[in-house]
Amino acid sequence: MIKIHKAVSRRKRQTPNRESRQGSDNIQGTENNLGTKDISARLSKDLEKNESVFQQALGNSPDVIFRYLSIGKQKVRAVLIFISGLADTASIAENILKSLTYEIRCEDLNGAEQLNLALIKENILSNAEIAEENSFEQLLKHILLGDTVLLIDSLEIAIVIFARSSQGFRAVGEPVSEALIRGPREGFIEKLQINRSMIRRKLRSPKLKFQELTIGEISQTQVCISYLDGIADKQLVSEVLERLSRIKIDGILESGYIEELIQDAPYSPFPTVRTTERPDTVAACLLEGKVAILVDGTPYVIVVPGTFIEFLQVNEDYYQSYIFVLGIRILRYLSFFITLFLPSMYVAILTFHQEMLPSTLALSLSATRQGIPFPAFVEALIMEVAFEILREAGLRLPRPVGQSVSIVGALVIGDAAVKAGLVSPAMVIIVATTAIASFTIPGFSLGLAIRLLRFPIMILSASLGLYGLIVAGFALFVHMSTLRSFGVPYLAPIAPANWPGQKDVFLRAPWWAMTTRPLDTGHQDFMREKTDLKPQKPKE
Amino acid sequence: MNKFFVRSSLLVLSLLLVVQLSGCWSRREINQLGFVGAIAIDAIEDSDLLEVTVQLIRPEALSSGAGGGSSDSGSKERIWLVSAKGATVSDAISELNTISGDFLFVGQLTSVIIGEEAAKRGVKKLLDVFDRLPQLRRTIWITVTKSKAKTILETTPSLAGVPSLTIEGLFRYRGENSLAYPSNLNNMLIALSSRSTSPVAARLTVVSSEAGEGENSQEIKLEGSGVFKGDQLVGWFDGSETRGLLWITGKAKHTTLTIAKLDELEEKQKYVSFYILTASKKIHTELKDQKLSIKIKITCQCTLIEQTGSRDMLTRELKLDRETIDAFESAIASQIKEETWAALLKARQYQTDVFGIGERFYIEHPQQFKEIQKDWPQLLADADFEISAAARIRRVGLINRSINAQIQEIPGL
Amino acid sequence: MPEKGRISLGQAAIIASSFALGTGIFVLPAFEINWAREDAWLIQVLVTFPSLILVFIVDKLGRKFPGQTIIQYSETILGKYLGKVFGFAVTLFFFWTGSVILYELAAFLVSAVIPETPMMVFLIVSGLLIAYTVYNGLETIGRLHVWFIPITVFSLIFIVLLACKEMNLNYFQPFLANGIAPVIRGARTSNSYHGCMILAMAMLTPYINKPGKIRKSYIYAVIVCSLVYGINTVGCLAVFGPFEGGRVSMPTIELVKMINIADIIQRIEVLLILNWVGAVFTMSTAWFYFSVLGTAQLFNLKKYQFLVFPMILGYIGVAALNYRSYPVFVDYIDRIWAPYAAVHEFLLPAFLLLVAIIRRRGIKTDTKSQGV
Repeated sequence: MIKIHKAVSRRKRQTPNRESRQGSDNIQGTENNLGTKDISARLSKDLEKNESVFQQALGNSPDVIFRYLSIGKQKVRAVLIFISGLADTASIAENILKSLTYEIRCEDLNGAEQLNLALIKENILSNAEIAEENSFEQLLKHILLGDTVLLIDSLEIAIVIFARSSQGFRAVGEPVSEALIRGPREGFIEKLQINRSMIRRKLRSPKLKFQELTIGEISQTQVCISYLDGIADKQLVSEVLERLSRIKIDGILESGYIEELIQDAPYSPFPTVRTTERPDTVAACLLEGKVAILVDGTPYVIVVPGTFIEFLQVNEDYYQSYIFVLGIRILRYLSFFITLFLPSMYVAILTFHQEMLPSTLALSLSATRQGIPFPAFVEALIMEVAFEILREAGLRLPRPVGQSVSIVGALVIGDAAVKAGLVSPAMVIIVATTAIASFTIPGFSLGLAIRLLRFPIMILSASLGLYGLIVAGFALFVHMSTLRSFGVPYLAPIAPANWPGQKDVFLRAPWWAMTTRPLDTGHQDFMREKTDLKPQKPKE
Repeated sequence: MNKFFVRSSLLVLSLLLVVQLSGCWSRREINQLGFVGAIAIDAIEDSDLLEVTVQLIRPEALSSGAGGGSSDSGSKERIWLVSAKGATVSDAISELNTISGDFLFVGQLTSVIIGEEAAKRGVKKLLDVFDRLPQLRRTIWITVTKSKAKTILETTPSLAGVPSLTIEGLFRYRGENSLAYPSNLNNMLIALSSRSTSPVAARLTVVSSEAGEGENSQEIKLEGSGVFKGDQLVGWFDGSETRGLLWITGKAKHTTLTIAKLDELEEKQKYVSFYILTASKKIHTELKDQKLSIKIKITCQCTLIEQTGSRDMLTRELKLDRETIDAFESAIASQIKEETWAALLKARQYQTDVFGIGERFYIEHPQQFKEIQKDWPQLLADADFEISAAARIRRVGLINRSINAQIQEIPGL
Repeated sequence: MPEKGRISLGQAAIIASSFALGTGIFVLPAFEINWAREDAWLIQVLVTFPSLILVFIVDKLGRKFPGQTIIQYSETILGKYLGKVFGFAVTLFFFWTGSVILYELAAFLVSAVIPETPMMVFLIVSGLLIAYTVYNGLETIGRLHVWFIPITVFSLIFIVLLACKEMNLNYFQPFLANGIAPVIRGARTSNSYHGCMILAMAMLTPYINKPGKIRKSYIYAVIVCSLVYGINTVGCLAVFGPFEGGRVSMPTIELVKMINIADIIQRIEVLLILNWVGAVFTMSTAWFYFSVLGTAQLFNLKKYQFLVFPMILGYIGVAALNYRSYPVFVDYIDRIWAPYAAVHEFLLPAFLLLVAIIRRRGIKTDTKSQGV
């Protein structure tokens, strides 16, 4: 009895689940989306019927063009469907309309009574890319992507002509967010196809694979993953595909949507996927066995797995002399710690550990703080928040205004605050140093995390002194070492430490010594070059 | 169930933390601290109490930038002196907090000055607090003075204007004359806790020097040292006796020695100055029939830095003048011996072992030492000393021959 | 198995040595110099040998019972009930000593870094941090150790080198003036600190991902630990001498405070202390982890995570209530804990191996074929 009862109750519990799953199917399903019942059907022989399905689906929208025409002497009725602006009108006129309506007449069809599909495809249409399709759903998708659909009377198959407009996109230019001195000056743009070709131009190998998905029920955004076959771990690729296919959402407007939907640690402030605007960075990552996710409509490409160290590295590190890179990297790590800890350290030492200061420094710091109405912690908090406001204001405003904001903010307010005795000059120095140090962190998303984390650390060190600081540092380390990005430990190769990985952490090994790919992502094809590449004196 | 465990214990912990944290804001703003630069401790006559004088530094008086124009506001205002009485040092300091608006912060303390009377009553009880406080270091200077310790802090030295900074500076360059013992807290405590060694503390005195317009200004002078027996002050070493002590303890360094008489070589009194580069010592002890014999051997390396006599290390023919070198070196050696003897005799007079000879004896004869540990001061006072010294001149500066030496033509060339 | 994570051989060795390093840096020199005076440096040479012998015993046990910790194989060897008692004793030892370490950490912060803050705050904050780390499993603990312990070791060596200016080598003489007895008395505490490594090894061995030359790396761990303590003791003795070194409670901190190199490197003690606080954190995570893991294995639990936070409450409670003041703690460590620990660290594994051989339990191993 009891068993049966249990079974029943279990079924009961399951029912709503199933319903909800069906519900979610519905969202994905075509009916709701396109608004007609016939949409899942195939084309029929009746042109009018077919056309009316499209009319209904696209809802008489003014940008959807139905161009009626008749082909050849037989005057076979046909209709071209495309969206103005997305489709390349000039190409349609030249390659489709002209061929179908004018040239076909000039040609002697030799009384071929039947105007068949093969003839049109092979002899008449002069477009480079065409395809056949017979489901309404797919055809609608094509139309919305900017392709042109040719429906011909009495044919159950429509021809999709790929003639998308190349207008309306900005030209390839220098990426704004990742400027560098030496290196290619091209950055991704908003168009997926172009971005894809940029990667292909860097890695002209059959190993480079692209795999396309459409995500977003309404936006129907094209998302494309890219990897090097044989170098990237197959498990990683399938994991990425798995996570992407799990996404059921109305629209993807930027790769940030995808980023948040696939990352491993949703509650962590640390970014676990890397984004970049640069094709060379993506190519380098692919060569290390990573997977890139390109999203149509944004120049930011996601690269997974993303580890902590990568956010402190710039691709210029690999183009400049490795000797200087060592120094620059140390500088960058230093400024990472400065950004994170300097204000807290200042507060902690000034309020808890005054015996740490050399006598003269203690006296002069004490002198600068005479008459300051706020405790050091509040002072630091005010200044840091003010700085964040200034930075945000400078970012959002148009560039000329932004500059004047920063001048007013930094010089006028800062100077006035010091002169009025509201903040101490030492604090201004500390905040300014922190600000400048924070600009050296290349990974913007990591920079955001650090800027945010500064404040809790400041609170901790204001209540527990340097002990609070070490607690915060320790907790951060523990937190970061528990993170994983697509199976790769976030702090690799620092923790867990592996020896080959150290070649690209604090120093960047010269290219003739960088013989291996990173262990965590490139273990499938570990060697990246021959081992005896060190330049040698010419043999005599 | 498991989640309940985790959540409830987290809740308890955070509640506990909040309760504790709300009452524990132990922070102190740096501008609310009174930086104690030096502490002077005096005994009060006919009483067990101590008089503790604290010298605070006004931060705004030192920095020229922030205040603007405070530099001419007179050196008097750079420091603030306050005194209080108490049974212990910390008692007196806590008493001082009743009149000071700022918290008296001892983390920047550089020197402690102990008056003669207080030092005679014993320093162990005075130093305990400095040993305990976590903000303090063992590098603070412990000094004694013949007068009341307070008088040292009442001076306004011309250069720094702040006694504590002046004392710090004096100790920093103490090595240039080696006339004072480097008596930091660590050395004091090590001596006080050792088997037989008595501590020595540097001596501060107030001297007056003539300032610009016939005015006398009071300056602090660091020379000589106070000698203890056990932890009680028993007497004083002057500068050269202190240097004698430093020769024996191997702490003499970078000192300038001037030798006045080279009678057997020179026609008149001429002077030669040497700068000691390094000095080392060897002590050998032996006990036979209740008679202690101690051999001390001091060797040093030095530079010839100045001479007023006509003899030099090279002759006109650029030939080495061995006679002169030997004379110079033996003169240094005898000067060292003289100073060493002076220190030894003075210490014998006070019946105290400030040289660490007892420790040396223990190292060499640990079993014997245990038998005689009680009688050690007496044994040392009756000991036979054998002191030898040797000096080597290693550098002479940038000349071959002195301007005082003969520079005429060489006859017959 | 409650723990699914695996660590590398190097991580295991570092965890093992950190099991004894950490708090010992602060307190051991005082114990050693207090008893052995001039011969304190000898202690670290002496205590290496028992630990090395024990490494062989633990390694042998680990091979006889692969995939099992000491708590599990004591049950295999001694039978269910006696084995449980044994396992309980070991777990209790982990728990008890772990709380001692937590107390040490807090006491140390209160007495040397932030005197005004109540100790309970340090206990809770540190406890939470330790619990958070342990909650994340053995792999995280391993990663933590790989960075914090080497930094600590190097900073300690660096400090001793910087303090060379203040050293007086006469403090090492005379050699054995009072015979060997004081040295052995002084070695008691050190020995128990060292022995902690043995139990860590007995707990860690089944979680090593590539069991290779386990014994060799454990021997390295023991030697590194002796070296670090040895350098520390020598530094403290050379600077403070045979009496001062034994009189102050934490000579290492006084040593750091003495450092002043040309007025540039000075007043660095808080930074170094905090670095060492990091090391003590690391150490306590290992202790706490083993006590939690031991409890889980004792009751054959599938997971240990839910035990972490309730047990840290117990930890904090014991640490807060057990020692009234630092002197009480010093007395406890030197006179009670040292023999108590020695029983668990030395007698227990040896007894287990003996019984295992007599009762013919476990896999027969050929030591020679494995290679050291």
